[in-house]
Amino acid sequence: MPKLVKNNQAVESDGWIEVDSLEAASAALQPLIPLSLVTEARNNGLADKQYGILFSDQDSFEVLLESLSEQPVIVFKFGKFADGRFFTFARELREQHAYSGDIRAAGDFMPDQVAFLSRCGFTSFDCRNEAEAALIPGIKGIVSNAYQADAQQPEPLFRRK
Amino acid sequence: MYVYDSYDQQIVDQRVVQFKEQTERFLAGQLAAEEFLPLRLQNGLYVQRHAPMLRIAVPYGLMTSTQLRKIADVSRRFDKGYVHFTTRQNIQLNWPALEDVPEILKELASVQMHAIQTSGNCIRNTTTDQFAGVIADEIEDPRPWCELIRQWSTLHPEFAFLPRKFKIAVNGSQSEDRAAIRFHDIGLQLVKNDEGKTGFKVYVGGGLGRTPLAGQEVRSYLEQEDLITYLEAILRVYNVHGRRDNKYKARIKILVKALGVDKFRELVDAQWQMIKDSPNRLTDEEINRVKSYFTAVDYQPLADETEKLASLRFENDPFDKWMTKNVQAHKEAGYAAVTLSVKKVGHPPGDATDTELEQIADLADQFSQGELRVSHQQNVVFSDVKQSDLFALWQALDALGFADPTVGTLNDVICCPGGDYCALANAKSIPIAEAIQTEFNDLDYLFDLGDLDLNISGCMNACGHHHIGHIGVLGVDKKGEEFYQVSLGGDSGVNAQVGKILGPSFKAEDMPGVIKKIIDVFVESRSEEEPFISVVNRLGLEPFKERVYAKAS
Ligand code: SF4
Repeated sequence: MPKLVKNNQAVESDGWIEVDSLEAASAALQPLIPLSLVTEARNNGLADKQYGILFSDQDSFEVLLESLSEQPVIVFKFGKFADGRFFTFARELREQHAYSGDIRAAGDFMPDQVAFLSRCGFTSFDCRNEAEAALIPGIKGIVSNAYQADAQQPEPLFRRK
Repeated sequence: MYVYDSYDQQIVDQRVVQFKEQTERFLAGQLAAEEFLPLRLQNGLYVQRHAPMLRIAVPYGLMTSTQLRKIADVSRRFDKGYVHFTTRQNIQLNWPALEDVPEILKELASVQMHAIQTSGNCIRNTTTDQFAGVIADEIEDPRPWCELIRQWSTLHPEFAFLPRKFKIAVNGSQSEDRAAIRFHDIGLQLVKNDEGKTGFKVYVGGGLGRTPLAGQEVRSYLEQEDLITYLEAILRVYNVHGRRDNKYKARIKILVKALGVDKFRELVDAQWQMIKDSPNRLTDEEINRVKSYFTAVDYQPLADETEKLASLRFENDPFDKWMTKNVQAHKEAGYAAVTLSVKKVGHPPGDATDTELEQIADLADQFSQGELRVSHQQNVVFSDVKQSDLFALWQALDALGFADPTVGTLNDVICCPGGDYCALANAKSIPIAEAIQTEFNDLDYLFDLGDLDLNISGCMNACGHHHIGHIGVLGVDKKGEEFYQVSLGGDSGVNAQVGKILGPSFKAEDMPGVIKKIIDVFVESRSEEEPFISVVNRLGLEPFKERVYAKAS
């Protein structure tokens, strides 16, 4: 059973896997490399390989910005669902740093946060379990309009009506 | 007042559906209690000591008689038939059943009300002066700005999981600050610049609780079109840099204090430069659209009734007192604003029954264009009463028990629910309020004491705003016993300051006597008509300490 939600659908893995060492990174086809290892991995010739960045709640957003190049995916791994910083980081990546790859939520986030996460620029969700992945398509769009401009909707409601 | 268009209504209706789905999942055991917690809090639902408590948003304290009747109806059908007006201009139901909350929210949505973001670590209801739009010395009516902030902050995707709650207040008056903006996370003061253009002075980092601090000026003048983008920049800096490791250090005031306001300003400005000219920048069209809802009040060309009122006051002493304490001058000739005293000895301040709410709604229809306001002092305001109706309104209020001429006096206590209702309390607060009210039940004496804010909180969370009462009372726990700490000199107004602690705390039974001694020192030391707060500022705490802690001889 899939626990990844992409394009508002629960899908089987899309190949990206979290790794925790340089060896594992070079062994994997599509590794998600912890931000703390990215520089080292690059120096070790990994730059030619497709890889994604795994950002944990201990990491620095400034370092992420410095490490940003053409990575196709950035994963924000929630340590606690109440840590709202990732909402801002994703928006800044989209709106201020023109990042256009996949921004993925992983770790301890709730399906009920997916609507807001999406509006902040997240595009895929690696859920805690299958049941949550199955729930998301049904609840994400319940509130269908919004006052604010956001990563999905560049104009606030007052400019749209 | 603002009326929902189809978009506003749709958002509120859909939020009800969303919450219903969440509640059902929780009740079916598919949503863990700790995960339902932030979801229900974001929708105003607490679980208190005895039962859930639902806090209903009253945007900037303004409501219609129709909405008030709906609240009465809901409190009767789903609760015990009474509600509580809060110090943040909202309304609380104290005992709704969780299963009923979705239905209650649906009822509220039918009259353009909701409970969105009345609690939780998000942007809360924006508050303002209860006399907004009707007083003469205003730079501009703050309510349209509150409404613009309400729309921007409602279901904001980025700021639903802040380090801590976030409160914004707006003031439009030039001489007074009834909104206590310096004690909010963000305080906005409407100002005019040298060219006469209206904008905002912005304060940040004020608050009460464990670390009471007055907000600091972060910007002396902000163009009105920049309001939303600038708020967004502040919130973004807070969301990223605010502490999340200790909930007592998580408010923005701690961040501002730690960084210093200059460094904080730098961070905000850097962020703001990125988004200043984004589509979120307000347009004149939108500002005018929202303003148009507040200028539409139907005033008749009337003349002031000065002479007629003067003779009525001369003939009738209780009416005269009420006019002095409970009636406020209005910017329109021939009108006045009236405060209904909702405080009754022995009842929690701000509590009202369903029947009382309906009586108030009827009077609002009859005397004040069907609108009313909730004040920070937990009273109700009729903002647009014809002066020619004042005597009739007074008689009607007097018959119902809402005409106590105590507004602004020592007996107009601000008081949190305290140990009788609140799980966090160190001590009861309502019986203290009651004992003090009973001690000072001589109206003439109270009246002579002049304006005096007495604020009582049952614990450090300071829901009763004890730090900014002229006299503040805080419930503390001493080895399992309830004690009360007294502070003097707090001020929520333009001279924002936090009260200073008098000394060791007192037992509940000693409190009326302690307050009496403080009042005695004040009465003996004041020059004619001098207000309490000015005596405290002039003399300092010493004479009060001496009297209160004097050894019995
Ligand atoms: S101040 Fe304390 S006791 Fe009073 S309502 Fe707030 S949390 Fe409860």
